[in-house]
Amino acid sequence: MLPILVVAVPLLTALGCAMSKRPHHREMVHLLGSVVSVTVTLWLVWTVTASGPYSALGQFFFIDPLSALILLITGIVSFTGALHSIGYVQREMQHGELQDGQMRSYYAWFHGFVATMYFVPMVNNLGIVWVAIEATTITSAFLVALYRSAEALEAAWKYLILCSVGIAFALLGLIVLYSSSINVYGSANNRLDFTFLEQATRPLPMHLLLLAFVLVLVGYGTKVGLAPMHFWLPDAHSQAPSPISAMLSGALLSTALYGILRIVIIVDHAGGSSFVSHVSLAFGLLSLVVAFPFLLLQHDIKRMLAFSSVEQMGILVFGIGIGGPDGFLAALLQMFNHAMTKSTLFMTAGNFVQHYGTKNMRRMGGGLRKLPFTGAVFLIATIALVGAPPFALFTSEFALSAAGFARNHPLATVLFLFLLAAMFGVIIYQAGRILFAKAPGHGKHATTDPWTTWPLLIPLSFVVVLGVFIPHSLQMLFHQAALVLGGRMP
Amino acid sequence: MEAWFDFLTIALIGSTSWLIAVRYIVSAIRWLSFQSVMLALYTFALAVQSGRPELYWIAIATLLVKAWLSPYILYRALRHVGIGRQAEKAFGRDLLIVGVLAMWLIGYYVTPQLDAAQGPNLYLSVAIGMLLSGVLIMITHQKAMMQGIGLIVIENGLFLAALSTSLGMPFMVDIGIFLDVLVIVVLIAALTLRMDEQFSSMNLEKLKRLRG
Repeated sequence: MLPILVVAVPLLTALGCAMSKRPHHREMVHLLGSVVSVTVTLWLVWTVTASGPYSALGQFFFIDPLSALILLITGIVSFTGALHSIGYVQREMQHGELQDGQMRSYYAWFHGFVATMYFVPMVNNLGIVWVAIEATTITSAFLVALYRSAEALEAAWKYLILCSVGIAFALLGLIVLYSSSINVYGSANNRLDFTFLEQATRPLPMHLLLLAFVLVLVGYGTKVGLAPMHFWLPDAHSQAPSPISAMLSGALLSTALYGILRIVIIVDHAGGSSFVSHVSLAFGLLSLVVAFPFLLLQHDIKRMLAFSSVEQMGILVFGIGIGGPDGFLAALLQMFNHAMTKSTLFMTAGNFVQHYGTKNMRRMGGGLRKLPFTGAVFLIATIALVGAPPFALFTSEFALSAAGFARNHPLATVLFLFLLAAMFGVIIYQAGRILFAKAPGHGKHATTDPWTTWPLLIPLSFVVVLGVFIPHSLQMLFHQAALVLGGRMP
Repeated sequence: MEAWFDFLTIALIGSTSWLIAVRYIVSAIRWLSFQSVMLALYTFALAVQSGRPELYWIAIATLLVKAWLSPYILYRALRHVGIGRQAEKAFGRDLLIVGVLAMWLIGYYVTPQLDAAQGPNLYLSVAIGMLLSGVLIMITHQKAMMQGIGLIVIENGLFLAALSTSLGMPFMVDIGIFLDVLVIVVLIAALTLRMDEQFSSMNLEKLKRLRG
């Protein structure tokens, strides 16, 4: 029953937003729907953490701790995005950037997008997971194209086409997986369920499994933004409205990565872990290397953050490549921490962009004085993003490197650390330009809207607190999720 | 029955190869519809052969979504921007024919052997060739709508791959994929229209603003 609610509430909210005539009513529906939606989701996450996997409708829905972790990330990020949206959209409408019709479609697609993201980690059949991931592309493409500018149109087109083609390869991988599963076990309804495949007793042909893994990695990897399939990502993330950028980067990338994680578990279970490890390490490091020059030479604040997401996804996949209980735990921690940090940063970037009227960092400056609250949040989140202590990302990146040495990948880990250090310098330099450089001409103090500022504290508090202390229940969730990822169902 | 499958497969190869070389977008849409009808007939034949009731539904859904609705939506959008639009290829026709032949060959050589007892699965080779040809259509054409058509050819190739290896994906998954394809087609049509309004063209050359 719970999983149905998790999807139904945002869908109903979307319907309500589409049907309400007055902007004020729409905001009320949006707010109410978001509160109910996040409550139901957290309730489900809590149930799974406290009493193990949850299944519904036969085994159509199956939520284990790994799924619960993705749900938790999506829940927190989209709730913050929902609150931030209210202030953001109001301001865009005052400035004539958005019309009433656009506001309606913004809120309607917002909740449609959230519903599809919740659906992905809850379903058991990997084919339906594919359908749901493709559906996230569709719903979010509408949001990317919201501003009817030439740039937004270009970004939406690239996003839709590149991700759809990429993900087609993932489907081919799943077809290979399904047919080999049928060949070995005979035809039945559950042959593509991850609960079945992750505990398969008879071996599936290894060469087909590895082929399926590579196809799925390339396919979903396009959506995760792994280099060299990342070309759509900076465009879509920079052209979307800022709360949506936060959700794309924080929640959607993790959701797409979930699709890869499921296949990793299946292949590891069948004994192909060394192949998985090598391919993942290579893709991870490549993403780090590719993102670096773009971060260095970037002038657009949102594109900079988007390339940092490419880098962070590289770190995550690198972590999967390291593997082992410690490596998986560190990678999952990193995924959660990145989602919190990056969504905070995209929303603060939205505030900067609205204040300065440009995305160009050269024309910003004095951010800390002009927007004291936003500036301070941006500063903290940036320091956290580059992995400086005492914040959460330091913990996970440190654990990741330690696991790398412990599991005998010294060369890759040294390269990884070297790249992290380089990123550190670049991102701090770029953030300094915004916060401390001399302010441009117009000196008026910014008016701040509580909707665009206070919600930022939700993800930020995780970033700050988790660096020094992880609450017991959350710790349990991470540990159980890492066990699932290591192929041991709790 | 085998002869019937072979005939349909040849029709699929022919229509895909021809699609890449057509001059007008409107004929590309017609050939796309033809290709989907062939695919529906293939599914229908498979349903008769295997006696699986859900395959009849899949055949009907293919006919409805891929052979009728999707081409119709694209056709409506095209009529809006001007029916006489050319497909505008980046290379000459001869080169494209050589290219598509190469795709069929690659499809033949990379096909994995799924079941050692049955030997090579030629239908799967054709499916992979279709998938690659779809990618080739997208790479070599400059009009936005042709990229959409390439995407549907890719989807058709995947559909054939699933049919030929495991009698289609599980029923729910297939229905989900049909829905996805339908919405993507709507989105492609909408974006093409908006592009035409914005740039008075749907040539992707205009999409060069976002770099680096």
